[in-house]
Amino acid sequence: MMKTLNLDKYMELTDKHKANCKLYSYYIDSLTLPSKITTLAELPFLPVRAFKEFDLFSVEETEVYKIMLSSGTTGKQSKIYLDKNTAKQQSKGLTDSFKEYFGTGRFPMLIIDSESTARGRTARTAAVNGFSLYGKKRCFALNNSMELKLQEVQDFIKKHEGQKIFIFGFTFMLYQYLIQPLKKGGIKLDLSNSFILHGGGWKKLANLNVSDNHFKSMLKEYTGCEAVHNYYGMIEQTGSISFECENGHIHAPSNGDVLIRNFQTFDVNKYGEEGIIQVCSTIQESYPGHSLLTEDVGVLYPASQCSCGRKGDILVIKGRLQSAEIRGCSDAV
Amino acid sequence: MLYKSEKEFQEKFDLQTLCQKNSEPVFAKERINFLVSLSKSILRSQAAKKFPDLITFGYYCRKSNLMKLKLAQVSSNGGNFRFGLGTCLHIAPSNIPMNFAFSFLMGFLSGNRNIVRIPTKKFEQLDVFLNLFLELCQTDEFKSIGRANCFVRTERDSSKLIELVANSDALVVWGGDKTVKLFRQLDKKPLCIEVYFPDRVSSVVLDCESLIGLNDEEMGVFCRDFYNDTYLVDQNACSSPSIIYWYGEDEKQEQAKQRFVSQMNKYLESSYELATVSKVDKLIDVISFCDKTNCPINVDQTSGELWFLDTDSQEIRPKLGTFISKSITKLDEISTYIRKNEQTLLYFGLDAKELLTMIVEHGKLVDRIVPVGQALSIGMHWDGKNLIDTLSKKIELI
Repeated sequence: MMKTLNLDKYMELTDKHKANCKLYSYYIDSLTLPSKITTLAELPFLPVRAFKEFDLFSVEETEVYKIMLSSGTTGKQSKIYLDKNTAKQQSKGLTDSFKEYFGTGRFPMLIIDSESTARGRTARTAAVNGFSLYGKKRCFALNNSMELKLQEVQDFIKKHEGQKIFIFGFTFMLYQYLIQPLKKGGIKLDLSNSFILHGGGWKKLANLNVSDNHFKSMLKEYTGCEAVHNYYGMIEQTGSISFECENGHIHAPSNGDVLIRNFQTFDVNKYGEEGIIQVCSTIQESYPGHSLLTEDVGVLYPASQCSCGRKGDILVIKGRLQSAEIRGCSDAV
Repeated sequence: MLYKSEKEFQEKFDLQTLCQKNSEPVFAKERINFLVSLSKSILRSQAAKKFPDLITFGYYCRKSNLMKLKLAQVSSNGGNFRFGLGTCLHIAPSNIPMNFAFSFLMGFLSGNRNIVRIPTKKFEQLDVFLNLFLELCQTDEFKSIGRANCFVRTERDSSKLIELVANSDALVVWGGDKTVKLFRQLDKKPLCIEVYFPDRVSSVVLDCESLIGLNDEEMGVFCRDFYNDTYLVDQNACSSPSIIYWYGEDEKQEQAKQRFVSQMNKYLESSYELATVSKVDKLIDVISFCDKTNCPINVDQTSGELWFLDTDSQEIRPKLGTFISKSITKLDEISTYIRKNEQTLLYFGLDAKELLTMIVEHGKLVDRIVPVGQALSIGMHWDGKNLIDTLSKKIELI
């Protein structure tokens, strides 16, 4: 079934965080857990929202090198405490995965967003800046009013003719502010030699009834680009990102695992059964983020169903958990 | 009237217009007629059907029930000379969707003009209620009621809301301790009557021997009652118990607990499903209990949908099917666990008067001692106050 090569590392991390993060150890000690963990399914997990509610870290405060904040224009933000080593491991993990999918080197990077986004404090900021490590000569395709700067984009493409351009953006941004204006203006770009990486979720596009296939075919029509890759990742586990392969499957990363748990029992589901996504990563040393229960919904299929040869299970993202309805008083008068 | 947004409230709301209607006697005839009509439209409405809390409100406002309340009120006052205080501002809570309507009802029956700040969170039953309410206010008969009673969506720190607090004759605030603190600090009229409903906690004491002695049918009724007090509202209500006391001899406690767990789980299987997000909340709650008590909390997760905590902390307030579990052999022991903001003590198989005596003896007062199944019953009394009396005044005639 699932690979458990990483299990020893996860257990080591659980012990490490128990020894160094008081609140985490209290939490783990509070739960009814099997006396000995022998499978990935038995590995305790932390709800990812815990990072929004509590300060969780396993290093001395003086060792904290950087605190990453999740998107947070509304509501609470996740606070992720990184020491130098974990920060390094994260960027190494991301680089390894990126290379595995897109090759080495830095690519001219076309960002389907505005420059102001890169200076903000949102999830988009983090993603744009994180992936900029693999780009050079960044070109922001949008102005601050989210209008396509067509001339600049065309100049950029022309300047890098013959080179592989790395196009990055949030899924809905690509749809709304690249595809739509191109379609409206009847303009076609030539990015056939390039690749697109997009993330951030399908919710907005699903609401507009735009499927993955439709999205890809529009990109092909208006940009010529056929290498379109989605990714699944979160700020709480930067460094273990699941990328979409050339066959259109999102694979669990090699330095992590993905599990699907039953909506009601939280038991691990079989392949093909929809449930709540749990993500594991081997690189979280400074905060207890190595085994996280997300609030995303997905389905897992065995890696063998894809011919790309990657070992990570295939993950199909189905969206987010529905927020709970508050049960009100139905008073028996 | 309804003011849908802060903007609308700022631009259109006018206190003077509202104040054209004078205070009226408690249980005034026109008001009862209005509520009876409202009750009818709620109970007839297709849209209302899927909201048991809205339906309950509809039932509560039936003529027979209102007359019963009126009778109780009039007889306790030896006459009918109570009048509304004037303008009553209600700040409704966001954890219980229909609470705003109950608060309004009490202010309305007391003879006041009412302004109700409704939760910004979207509750469908709230919209259904408002539509029916507003529709009724369109009729000639109830136009003036519509002008003198309104619902608003505003920001917490809205300048207009703060101004309104300063000009109200009565203020009713439901909410957490933070909200209460905020409103307590604001300027008010010297004669303003302020009523606060801050965070409260509740518990239930079960007589183990009585529980064991129930036949299957009685046990089913017990489970339904317990469910209505707890799972039905995910223990969100202040009056939902967060502690269960198992009262009896040691072996009886174990026996009773086992029976309770198996029967309750069976009951829940058919009538209850906790949303996955709330199941995650349940885990987050565990972390927050650890955080508050600064130690592991020992969660017994082996009883299906019932989670039991073993803690002496007075600071934590479990919900979503989690209970602090306490085994006691003497009723007196309850008094040591009664928290400073304890509201309701629910009981099963015991005598309310005996519990009252015990509590009074230890100087720990609660607001309500009611049987299992009655935790959420609403009435004129809440948190130990008669709301109609509180929101009205008696004119003394000699």
